[in-house]
Amino acid sequence: MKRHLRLAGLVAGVAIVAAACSTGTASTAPSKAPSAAPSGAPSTAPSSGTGDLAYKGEITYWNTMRDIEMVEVQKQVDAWQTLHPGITVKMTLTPFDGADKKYETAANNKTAPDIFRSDVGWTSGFAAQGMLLDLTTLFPAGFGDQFLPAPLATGTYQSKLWGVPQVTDALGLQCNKTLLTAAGLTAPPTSWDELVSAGAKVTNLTEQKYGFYMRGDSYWSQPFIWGWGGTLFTANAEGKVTDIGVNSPESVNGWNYLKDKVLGTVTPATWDFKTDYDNMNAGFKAGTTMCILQGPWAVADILKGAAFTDKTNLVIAPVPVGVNGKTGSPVGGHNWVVGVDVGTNADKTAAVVNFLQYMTSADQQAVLAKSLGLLPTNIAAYAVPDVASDPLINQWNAVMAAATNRSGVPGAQGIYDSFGKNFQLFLTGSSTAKEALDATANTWETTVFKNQMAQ
Amino acid sequence: MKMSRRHLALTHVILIIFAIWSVFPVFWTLVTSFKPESQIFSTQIKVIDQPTLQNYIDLLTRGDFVQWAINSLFVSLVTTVFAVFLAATCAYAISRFRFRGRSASLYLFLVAQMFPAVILLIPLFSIFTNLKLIDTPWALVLSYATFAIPFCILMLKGFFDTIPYELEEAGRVDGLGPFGTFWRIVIPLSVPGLAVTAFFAFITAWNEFLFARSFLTSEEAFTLPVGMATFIDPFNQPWGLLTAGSVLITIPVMIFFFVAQRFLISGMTTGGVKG
Amino acid sequence: MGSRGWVAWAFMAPVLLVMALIVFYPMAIGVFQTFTNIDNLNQGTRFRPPSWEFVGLQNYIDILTGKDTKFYPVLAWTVVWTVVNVFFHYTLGLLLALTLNQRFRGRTSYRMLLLLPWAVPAYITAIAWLFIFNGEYGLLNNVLGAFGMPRVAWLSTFPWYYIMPIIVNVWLGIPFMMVALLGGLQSIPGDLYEAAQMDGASRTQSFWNITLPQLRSVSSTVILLGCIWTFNIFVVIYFITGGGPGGKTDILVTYTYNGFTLGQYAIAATYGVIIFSLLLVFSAVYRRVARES
Repeated sequence: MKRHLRLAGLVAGVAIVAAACSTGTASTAPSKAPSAAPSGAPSTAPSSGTGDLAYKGEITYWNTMRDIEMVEVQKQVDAWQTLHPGITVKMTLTPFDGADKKYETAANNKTAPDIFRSDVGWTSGFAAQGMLLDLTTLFPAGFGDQFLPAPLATGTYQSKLWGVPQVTDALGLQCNKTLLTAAGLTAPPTSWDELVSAGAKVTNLTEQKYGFYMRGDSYWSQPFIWGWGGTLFTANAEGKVTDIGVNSPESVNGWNYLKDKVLGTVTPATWDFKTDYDNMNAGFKAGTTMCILQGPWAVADILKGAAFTDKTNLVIAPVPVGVNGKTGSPVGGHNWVVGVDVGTNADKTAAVVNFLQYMTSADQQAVLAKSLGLLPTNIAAYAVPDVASDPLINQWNAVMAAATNRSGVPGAQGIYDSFGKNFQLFLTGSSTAKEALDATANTWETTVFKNQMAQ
Repeated sequence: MKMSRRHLALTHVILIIFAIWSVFPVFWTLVTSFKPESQIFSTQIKVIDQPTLQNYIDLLTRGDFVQWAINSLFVSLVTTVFAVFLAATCAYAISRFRFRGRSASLYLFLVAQMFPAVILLIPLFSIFTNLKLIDTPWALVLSYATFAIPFCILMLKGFFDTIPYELEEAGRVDGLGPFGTFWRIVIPLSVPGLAVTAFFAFITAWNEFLFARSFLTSEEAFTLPVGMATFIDPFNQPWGLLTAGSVLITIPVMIFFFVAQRFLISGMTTGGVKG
Repeated sequence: MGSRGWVAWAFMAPVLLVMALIVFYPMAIGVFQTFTNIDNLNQGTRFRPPSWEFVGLQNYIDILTGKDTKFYPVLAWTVVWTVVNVFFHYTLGLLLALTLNQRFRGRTSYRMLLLLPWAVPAYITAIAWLFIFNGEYGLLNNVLGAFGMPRVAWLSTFPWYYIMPIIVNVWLGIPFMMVALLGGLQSIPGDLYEAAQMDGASRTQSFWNITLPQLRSVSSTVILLGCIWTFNIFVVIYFITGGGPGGKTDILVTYTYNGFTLGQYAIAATYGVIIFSLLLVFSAVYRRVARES
């Protein structure tokens, strides 16, 4: 009996010691960070089309798009594979929610995919950790010039190129033309004051008819910060945060405007935060809401709504101005990033580069623009006839011109947790705007940007 | 005591109210799954207006629903067998043998349920990565069985306690060893208790979402809850698909439930949950 | 029943091994992490060396002295959440068990229907309830609207964002209590009631003097289990309110999980150890009290 208890004790002791020796959650020994640029990477691959690639085998690609979107992308992948027999691109669906964590874990365990569709907010974080292949010298000279500057900037960190822009987006004001007319407008409102006064004419809160529908999400709160001259934070060229401006007096003013003038007049004063995205879309699709803030990713679904069987009923405009002609909405989108381990194989690198050139070419981006309504990042794509003649995409141009760039600070996607929670506390009246924004700024400084403050 | 009319009426009223409350969300999910997407977000109360199978068709054509169902079934059945077997052997030991560490073990199984499982996620992920079990059903089988076992042991111990030891003594006389009496005498008499335990283990595995999402990375390996989650992104919750999927996911459990139902009650009543 | 120690341990070994691997070893890692400041930035990865440090008891001190301003409010709500839920689980479960313990036609069908919440996956029913409570299109509001009553944004309005998850969790937890208590009721010897009847006791007197005392053992076990499970139940809060609005409905487990997703491993592990310790102390006190009375 005693012997067995002692044995159990010994086992437990070993377990504790083993745990103490582990260096935390990852158990592999740290190794030297690989050099940023792979040795001898050729950049003579042609811009697209056939060409004999030396690499034969598999390329893995984690795509965070929705499954219905991936169907279209699969067609492009198949076409590229036909051009380059012997190479298979294994594209798998990775749910967007939590995909960044998944990628980091895989990268740490050497099981990262060769290509990953990274949200623009994640790219600099991956790059800072050394998980990505430096793409700066891998593409032909002038490759970057074909892209819109803001999306290209999202893939850049510390002056190097880490991500090739796949798609860009921003929140725009989407309106129902019939309801605009009923409110006495010939075009979407250009200022929030105009939206509030005109929207009141089509609003009946008890009958669930709204001039506008708001979300309890920090992303959606940003137009009310930038539109009043506020900002989130400022970063320098090295990706360090120099100033946190989210709790500036201007931001406070913007949020107070939202609460005093917009909520309860053209939109409900309180609403379910958990399902407000679906509710916002449903009301807009059904034709009971005049305007919403939404991005291009939602257009394909919105056009299925009863109110938009006639596509011309949907009009898209930049986010309304707040005060002094100020407006802004955060630029989002996705980059293709390449895992750093690919750099050890020169042939594979060449194949991956070729694939990315193909997928970012104007023609291919135009295909996705036409079928899914996604905004291309390649400037020439907008001149492709299918895209040029699409009225909705043309309207998005005005939106993107007014959209605000996001700073490439590693870990910036962590700002949304406290930002969103404090926004909700403000909306439900538990905090004032100043309290909520101060708490947000404080959390950012002490937690999110702990290691990123420029000092 | 025969029930008076008034008493019977009262009984039925109480039970009807609670039965409606019990069934209602499941009923509503079922009803919603047959609605076209446009009618799901409606401000009117509509039960059945234009029933459609579109949600089910979409569900089965998008993604790999059948593969996910197979994966879920495999994981759940293996977990059940594993958990029931381990729990039964352990509960038998606790019930029958007096050994040092017996009450400590019992307390251990109670205590093991106190540590929130979500917190074990990250360390477990490392462990399974090192064991090369990530993206295989075995990571889930091991996890689910471990979480189900403590309760199963407590249940089965109570159940075994009610089986008279004389039966096993008779077996010993006939020449059976300890494992023999366990296998040949006690187990056959314990079917109701085992049914409860099996049901509990099965639904623990079938219904679990968080661990499955963390430990499975490729689409072919997904279980049903993880597969369904691929339809959702933060920007879009297709309620039609979700409700249709929910209905399909619930069906195997309901089948298991109806089959095991009478054992469930008798298993919980005999022995069952005693201190 | 002899003291053949090795046979007993042979029976127990597989379970103990599996539990050591899946529960105790990760727990040990977790406990170790509570004495450090490990987060996702300073943990060692293959790309950079670890830069975390030992901080001794600092994490515990920060949390327990209230320097982490969230701990006590979340703890308070978690306790309220547990007490209210278990109260209703027990009383309503007992009511149903008593009702079902009689002989009448249709009782098996009722039993089946009442067990449904236990059988259906919890995340599915949570989502179903979420939709019923939807502020714009939910059935509850539609019914109220049909009667001319005002619609309510249930999950963002005080006090409903506390009440709605409780309704769902009570709904989820009744079947288990009901079945356990039904089992207990059915093992009460009938002659106790007969004797009481002959002495002229009323129904209520039988209930208080016979039924409840006879149910003591089962009751105390299910209440303890119920408290532990409810304290730690994740899916209800996660799917119904997401911890919101603004984190107000977070219970300790959801708050801790959120910390994990933000990469604050050491702090989240500390919360885990605190949760565990609270439950350990509670169960020890509970069993002592139960044994004494």
